[in-house]
Order: sequence, then C-alpha cells, then structure tokens
Amino acid sequence: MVWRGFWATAAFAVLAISLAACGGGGTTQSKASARIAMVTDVGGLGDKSFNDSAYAGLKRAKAELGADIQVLESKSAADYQPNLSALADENYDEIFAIGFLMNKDLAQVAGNHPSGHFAIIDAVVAQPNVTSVTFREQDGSFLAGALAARVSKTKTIAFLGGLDIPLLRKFEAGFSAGARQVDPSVKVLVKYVGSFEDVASGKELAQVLFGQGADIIYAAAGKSGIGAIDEIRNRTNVYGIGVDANQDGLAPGKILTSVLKRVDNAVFAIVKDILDKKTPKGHLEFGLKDNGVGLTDFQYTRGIIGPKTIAEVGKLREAIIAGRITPPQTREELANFKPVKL
Amino acid sequence: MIRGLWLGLGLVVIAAAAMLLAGANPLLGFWALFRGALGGERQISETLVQTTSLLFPSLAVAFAFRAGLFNIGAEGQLIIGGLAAGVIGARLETSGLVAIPLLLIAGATGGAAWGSIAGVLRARFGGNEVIATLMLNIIAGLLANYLVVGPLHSPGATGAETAELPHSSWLPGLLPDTRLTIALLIALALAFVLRWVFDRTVFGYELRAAGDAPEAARRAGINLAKTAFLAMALSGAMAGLGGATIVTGVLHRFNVSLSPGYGFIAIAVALVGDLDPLKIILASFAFGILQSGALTMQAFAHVPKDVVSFVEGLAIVALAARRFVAGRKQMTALPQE
Repeated sequence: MVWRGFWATAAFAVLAISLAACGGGGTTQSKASARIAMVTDVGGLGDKSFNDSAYAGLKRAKAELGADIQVLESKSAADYQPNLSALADENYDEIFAIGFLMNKDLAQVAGNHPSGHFAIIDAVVAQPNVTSVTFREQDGSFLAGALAARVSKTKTIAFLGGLDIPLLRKFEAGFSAGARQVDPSVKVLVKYVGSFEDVASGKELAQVLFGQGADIIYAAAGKSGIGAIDEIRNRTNVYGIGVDANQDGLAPGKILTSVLKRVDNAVFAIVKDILDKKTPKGHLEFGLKDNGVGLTDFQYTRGIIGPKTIAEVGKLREAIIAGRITPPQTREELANFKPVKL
Repeated sequence: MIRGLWLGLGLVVIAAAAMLLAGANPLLGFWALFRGALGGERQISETLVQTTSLLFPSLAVAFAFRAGLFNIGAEGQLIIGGLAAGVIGARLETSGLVAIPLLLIAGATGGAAWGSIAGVLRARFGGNEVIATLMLNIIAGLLANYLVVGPLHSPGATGAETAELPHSSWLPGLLPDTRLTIALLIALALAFVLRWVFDRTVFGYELRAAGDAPEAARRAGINLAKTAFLAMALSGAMAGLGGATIVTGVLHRFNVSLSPGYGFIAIAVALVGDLDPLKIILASFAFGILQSGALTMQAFAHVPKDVVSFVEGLAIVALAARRFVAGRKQMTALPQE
C-alpha cells in the first residue's frame, strides 16, 4: 500500500512537472488559465439536474478553455459559508454558489473578501463583486404551456411544482399564460408536492391530476417530478413535459418536450468572460435569445405535436425574443395577462 | 483514554489507507486537514463552531447512555429543537435579553418533547428506545420539512427554511467576523454541570445505578420507569438546545438541512469520550477538527468528503464493539466475584 502510494506520488509528480513544462510551450491554449470553483447546495453532485448542470459547465470550461476547476460539496446548510470562505481564501478567480439558498452566506463572504469575485445562480446578491445569474424560466414555460394547450384532448393541462416558492411560481405563471395565449378555454390545474425529493408523492399527485381530467403534466419538481414521469409512462393518452435537463428520453414518445434551463451555458459563459478579461457583470439574465432557457427539439414527439403547433411555438418564441409578449413571473402578473394578438 | 489514543492511531492508519484507495495522497490529505482545521483564526473558529455543534448532542447521548439508554435520536431532537427556535425566532421581534433565552428554552423544550416520546414508550410500555429514537429521527426531518414549507411557512422564506431571525435574536459572538458565539461557553458549562450531576447528586447516582445495574437499582427503591423517562427527556433537551444554538448562532434561520448528522456523529464522540462529560469536550474538539478539516481535504488534497464519514463510521463500530465485548466480559466475570 505504501509502495503504491509512493508510485502514485512519483507518477503524479512526473505528470505535474510535464504539464508545467507543456504550459511553458507558448501554444495558443496555454494563456494564463483561470482558477474556477463552485460550491454545490446540499443536493450535491449526482442530482441529474441543477448541480450536475453547473458542474457540466465547469467541465466544459476545463476541456475547452483549460480552466482549473474545483468543486466543494455541502453536507448541510451550515457548510455554505465555510465552503465559500475556504475557496475565497485560496484566491480563486471566480467562485460559483449554486442555488438561491446560499444568497445570505454569499453576501457575507463576498463582503469579507472584497478582492475576490463570486457568482450566484438563481438569486440576486447586490454587491459589486458578485455576478447574479437568473433565468427567464417563465419564457420557456410559456412555450411549454402553449404547446400543451394545443396537444391536449381534454382541454385540461396541469402544472406540478416542487416547492411553492417565488422561483417555482415563475414556471407556473409562464406555463398558465402560454396556455391562455393559444386557447383561453384550456383549464390549467396547479399542484405543489412540497418537496423536490419525494418521488412517491410526485407519482401520487400525478394520479390525482389525471383523475381530475388533465392529460398533460408539466413537472417542475426535481426528483419528485421523476415520480410523475413514472406515472405517465404507465398510462396511455397522457403526456408529460420535463424540466431543467433534457428529460425527453426518460419516457420516449411520452415526454412532449423539456423546458431546458442551461445552468451549464451560464457557468461556461461567465468563465469565458473571465478568460477574455471582460469586466464581470452585476446581473446576468438568461432567456430564450441566448439559449439560457428553451425547449428541446421534440426528438420523439414530432408526430404527436404536429408541424402546425411546432411552427406556432416557434412564432411565439420569436415574439417573446422581440419583446411583443412578456410572459408573467408571478400570480399577480398572470391574473392580468391577456393573450397578445400577433 | 489511553485506549482511545490507540484507537485514534488505528483510525489514522485506516484513513490513510482509505485516501490511497480513493486516489489521494495521505500526507497531503492530513496536511490539508490540519491546515483547514487549525491553520488560522477563521479555521480555528470554524473548528470550534463544529465542536460546539457536536458537544450538545454528544452530551445528550452520553447522558442517556449513563442511564442505560441508547439514544440514537439526538439528530431528530436537535432538528425539532432547531425548528422550535427558528419558527418562534422568525416571528419574534424583541430585545435580545428576552429573545435569546426564550429561543434557547424553546429549543430545549422542543428537543425534550421529542425525546420524551421515546421516554414514554420506554417507561410506560417497555418499548425499545433504540428503534423508537431511530424512527423518530426520520419523522423529525419530514415533519420539519412539512411544517416550514406548509403551515408554519414564514413570509419571506425562499426554500425549506424559515425567514432570517432579527439581528437582536442572534447569539452574541466571541470573536469578530467569525461564527463563534457564546454557544461554546454554554456547551462547556453544560458539560461541567453534567459532571457535577453524575458525581455529586442523588439524581445522578440514581441514573448511573439504573444504567449500570438496573435490577439492583430497582430493589434499592429507584423508580426505573421514572429515571428512564427523565433521562430521555433531558437528553432530548440537550440535543434540542444544540439545535437552537445552530439556529440562533450559526445559520440565523432554521433550515431542514441544518445538521450534517451531528446527532449520529455524537454517538461516536460520546463513546470516544468514555461517556465522561469532560472527556467528551476533548472528543468533540477532535471530531470538530475532522468536520471542519474535511472541507479543505476535499478541496485541496482531492480526498472525497465521504472518507471522513467512513472513518467516523468505523470509529462508531470499533467503539461500540469494544463496549459490548467489555460488557460481556463483565457479565461472565460476575459470578466469580
């Protein structure tokens, strides 16, 4: 065991020296690399969603831009602050806080490390050395709502959320408004699981929603949503809509599309800006235009949706990008939303 | 304690082996552990924060253990205590002199109530407290989640947590710009009080008698049901108080994932500390070093954070085995005496 360790260390040393030597070679790839780190929330790596997506962005930055990357996982909410501080003490060029739950801790750490630079996903921290990254989830959800309203035979569609919090209400409001835009007679049912990790309840609530006449469920509920998709797989004439990552393949032909939230693209874009020595922005909002949010390419469901609806969704997308439609973010805005004549 | 040192040495060797298997360099790993836990003012203060958070549930486990009860529900009692402090604290806007004691008492009461469930089951129906407390941990987590997201949701809260407590309700800090608070002093005081209770009071004697020789204690007129109930309730109160100090001192809000498993690590800490409150202070500090150094190990020596959990788990198994073996020896030795 000791020898193995010795050889491992020796091999590591050789590798490190040779890498350092290559670094001096003066190729275009070897410009002074950035050191980038991220702190996961308690979901951790392997969540098939948010944290993994951010990590995918970092890995891409490593592969394509040669960034030096580091991930710290959090075991509890009390870990956020020491994790962020530990990285700040090591002078990373950019430290990503993945998730709105870290906003208070990040605000404090950023305040204590004025020379460090930070980014937070899904929350706005108004400090000069923090880039806040948010997504226009309502825009992607709007397109999903329009699509669902067109495909539904029962004229009843449903939204299944994880936690009833402002972030998830952006999904809910956008989805409902999208349906209203194309067909105001379509009924939108709304339910929240109360957790992002409760697969069994997700499945049960999907049964309830189908029992109430819905034939399409948009599940924005993390792992709880996987339960809903499981229920959809076992039924005929019903469909689901996935969220965050491309979940179309979880039940091919039964997931109409997924509302993508490209945390990876956002992370990658920020790293690229650092390497290009651009001044970091205070608040970045990703939407349809920059592919921060969007729908999948309907790989398995083109036949079910039909070219007419696909074209209509494409038009709506352009209308949102052009600013002619502004999907609502809250229930109050949804109440006042009226279909826009195009 | 000497045996504890041998055990510690053995664990270090096993940890080194685990790091090698995980593809990390053990020397770098231990250096990172040391640097991360004791390498500067911030690091030392964070280690003491971890020590404090471990000390409360460890004393709770030891207290019940002395009375012959295996309380593995400190985690659940800590969560319920934290929940009580967080839910009340987020709604309470008053002077710190009133709010802080009130929230700490609320936490202790919540933990005591949760511990009492297992206490009643044990005292009234002879139910096994191990199974009861283990199950109550799971219920506590789910109940807390349900309550803060649902009926007790505080306005302004974003996720599965309460809103932030007003500044006046935060525990006073010991060092500026750190998370170290008077919670450490409260925990230390609690350890000394417990030592005194065990050594100098009738109640402490009754607890120990009930734990060491229940049959003899019963014949001597000690009410075993009563001591079992009180032991569980007070044990729960200590764990709950710990949860309240995390809420008022560290997070300044209740969050369902406020503990990385302090209540479980506490079992190892209590055993390493020979169930002696003063030795448990040292054991908590040792495990506090592991907890806070694990971060740096993960980050800068590429040791997975699971290696630390693995070593902690081994410590529990090794110590539990040692105690059971010792217990059996004692039993077989008795008739000859």
